[in-house]
Amino acid sequence: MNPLADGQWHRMHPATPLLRGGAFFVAIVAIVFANLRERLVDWIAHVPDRAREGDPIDAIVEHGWVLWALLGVLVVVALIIVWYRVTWQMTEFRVTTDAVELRSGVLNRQNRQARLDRIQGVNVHRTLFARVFGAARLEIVVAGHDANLSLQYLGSAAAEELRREILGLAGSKRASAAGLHSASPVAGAGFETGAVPEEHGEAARLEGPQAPRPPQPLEAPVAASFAPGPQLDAILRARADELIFSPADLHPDFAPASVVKVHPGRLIGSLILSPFTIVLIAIVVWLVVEVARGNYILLVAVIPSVFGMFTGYSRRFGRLARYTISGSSDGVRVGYGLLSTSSETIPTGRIHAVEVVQPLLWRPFGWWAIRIARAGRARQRGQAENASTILPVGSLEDVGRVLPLLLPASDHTDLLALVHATARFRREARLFSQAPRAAAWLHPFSWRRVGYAYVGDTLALRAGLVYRTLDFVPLARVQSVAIKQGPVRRMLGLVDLAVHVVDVRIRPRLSVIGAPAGAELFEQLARSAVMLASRDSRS
Amino acid sequence: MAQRLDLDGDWQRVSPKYVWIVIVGSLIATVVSAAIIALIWYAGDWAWWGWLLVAAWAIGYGLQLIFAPRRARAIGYRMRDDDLLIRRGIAWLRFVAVPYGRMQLIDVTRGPISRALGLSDLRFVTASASSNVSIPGLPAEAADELRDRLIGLAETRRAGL
Repeated sequence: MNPLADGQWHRMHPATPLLRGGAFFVAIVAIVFANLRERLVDWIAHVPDRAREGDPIDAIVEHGWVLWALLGVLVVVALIIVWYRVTWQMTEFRVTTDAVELRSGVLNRQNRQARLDRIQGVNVHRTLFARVFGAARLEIVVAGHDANLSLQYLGSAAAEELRREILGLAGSKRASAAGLHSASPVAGAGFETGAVPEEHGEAARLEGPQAPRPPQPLEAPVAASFAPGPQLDAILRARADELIFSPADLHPDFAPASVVKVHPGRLIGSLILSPFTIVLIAIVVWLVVEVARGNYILLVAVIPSVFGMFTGYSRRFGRLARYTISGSSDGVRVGYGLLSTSSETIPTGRIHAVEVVQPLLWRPFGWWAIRIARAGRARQRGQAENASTILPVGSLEDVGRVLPLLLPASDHTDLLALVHATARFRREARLFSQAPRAAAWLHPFSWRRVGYAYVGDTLALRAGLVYRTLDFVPLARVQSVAIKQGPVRRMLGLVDLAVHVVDVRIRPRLSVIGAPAGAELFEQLARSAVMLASRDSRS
Repeated sequence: MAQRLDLDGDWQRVSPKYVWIVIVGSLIATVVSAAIIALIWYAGDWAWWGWLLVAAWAIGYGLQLIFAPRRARAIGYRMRDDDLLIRRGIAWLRFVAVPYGRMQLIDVTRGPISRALGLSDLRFVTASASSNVSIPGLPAEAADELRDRLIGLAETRRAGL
C-alpha cells in the first residue's frame, strides 16, 4: 500500500516551491549577475572605482542607504518565500476509493476531483529542472478541455507508485461497477490507516523513507546507515540514474522492457522526410534565386524565420527521442523525451481508434507511424501533436509489435495479416472488401485499396495509395455512424460511409463502397455499436 | 447503374411551416448577393462575364427557391430501439445514426423567424465533433417533448467514454 494513496490528505514534495518558481529564480539571479558582473570583476581585481554616471548602487552607497536597501531586499525575499510556503501548505491531494482530489489556492480556493471511473490515462512528466531534483509531475487525464488534474511535484519514485496505485484502483473500480468480483488487493483494503507520517522540509527525506523504493538499475546501496556519506552517495546515484535512464527503464518492475527501439538516426530521417521539409526547401530555393537576382533585402527579412523552422526539427527530436512502449496490466505505457521526459499510461479501454499511416516519402524506407484517438489529452505545451502519436516511426515489424498492445481484444495474427495486406497489396488476397469497379471514376489509382474488414469487434478500414492508411475502430467506442451520397456517387451507384470517433484528427471513412453494401454496413455498424457499447460499459 | 441510397421505414417529418424558414433564409441571401452584384455594376467595368454572373446568380437562387419545399420535406428522423436516425438532403443525401447512450447534450434553439412560426431546432452533441446532427423546424412542444424523451433514453443507456 502506497502511503500516498491511503485516502488521507497529503501535501506535495517539499521542494515544490523551488521547482515551480525555479525558472523564475534562475532568471532573477541571471539578470542580477549580468548587471553586476563588471562591478564584481572590478571588486575582485581591486580596480579602483571607475566613474559610473547615475548608477543606482553608487547612489545608494553615497547617500548611506546601504542598510535600508539590504533590508528592503531581505523583506521582498522573505515575502516571496513565505508566499510560496503558504501556497505549498494550502495545496493538498488525496486518493480515495472514488476519486483523486486536489485542493489548492490561497485566496481563491479550488477543489478539483477526478473520478476514478472517468480516468483516461495517467502521465508522469519530468522537466529537466525537476529531473535534477528527482521530482515529477503526475497528471491525471480526464475527458474535457483543460479538465486534467495535475499533482506537481512529487518525488519521482512516489509519483511512479502513485500512478500504479491510481490505475489499479480505477481498474478495480470499473470491474466492481460491472458487478464482477474484484480480485485486486488494493480495493477497499487498508483505507483506515490512521497516522500519516508528517513530511518535513528536509531534502534527504524526500526520497527515502516515505515509499518502499523499487530496485534501481545501478543497484543503489540500500544499507540503512545514518552516516551522511553513504546516504549522500545513494541520493547522488539515484539522481544520476534519473538523468541517464529513460523513464521506462527507471522503474523496471513497473513496466516490462520496450517492445520497440527507435534508432535516433531513423527518427531524424523520419522528421526530415516530411512535407514540412519540402516547404522549407522551396523557401530556401526561392531565397537563393531572389538573392542571385540582387534582392538582398529578402535575406534580412526571411532568414530568421527559416532558422526558426530549423529549430523546429531539433525541438521535435528532443520531444520524441528515447521513445519506449510496453504493455502493462494497467494499459499501454509510452515514454519519450530527451531533456524533459514524459511517460504516459493509457488504459487500452480508453483508446477510441488506432491509425497506421505511411506518408509517401517514407515508403522507400518502409516506415510507418501509429496514431490513436482518445478522449483526454496530456496537457503540455507544444505536445498536442505528440499526445496522439503512439509510434513516431517504425518498421512493419514494429507496427506488428505495437498494434497488439493497443488492441488486445483482437486476434494478433489477424491484425498482422491486415497490416501486411495494407503494406504489400496483392490483388488476389481478399482480406478487405472491394469497391465496385465504378469507384475507379472517383479514385482511379486507389479504388482497389479502399475496403473494410472485421477483426473481432474491431472495424478495420484501409485506404490510400499515395498516403496509405489503415484505421482500426473498436465498435464499442463508436460515437455515431454516417452515410452520404451526392449526385456523382448516385450515378456510379456508390456511397460514402464515415465512422465518428472522439478525436476529429482521425476520421475513419470508406469514401467509396457499393450502395447496397454500404447501406447494409451502415445498419450493421449502428446495431453492433450500440450492442457492444452496452456490453463494454457493463464489463 | 444509378442507385439511390435509401433506408426504408416510416420517417417522422419536420413541420411543414419549416419551408418558410428555408424560403426566408434564401431570400435574405438573395437580397445580400443582389446588393453585392449591384455594387460591382456600379463600380463599372462591366464585361460579358458580368452578365454570366447575373445569370448564374438568378439560376442558383431560382433553383434554391424551387427546391426549398422539397428540401424541407426531405429532413426526417426516426427513433429506433437503440438509436436515433436522421436524414437530410435530396441531391446530397446524408444519414446519421446516433446511439441514445452517446448523446452528451441536447440543445433547443429558436431563431427570430422560428419563434414567429412557433418552431424550434434540436441539436445533438456527441463526444465526436464530426457527428454534427440536428433536426430543424420542429413544433416547439414537440421539440421539448422529444428532447425530454431523448434525455431519458440517454440516461438509461449511458455508455462510458
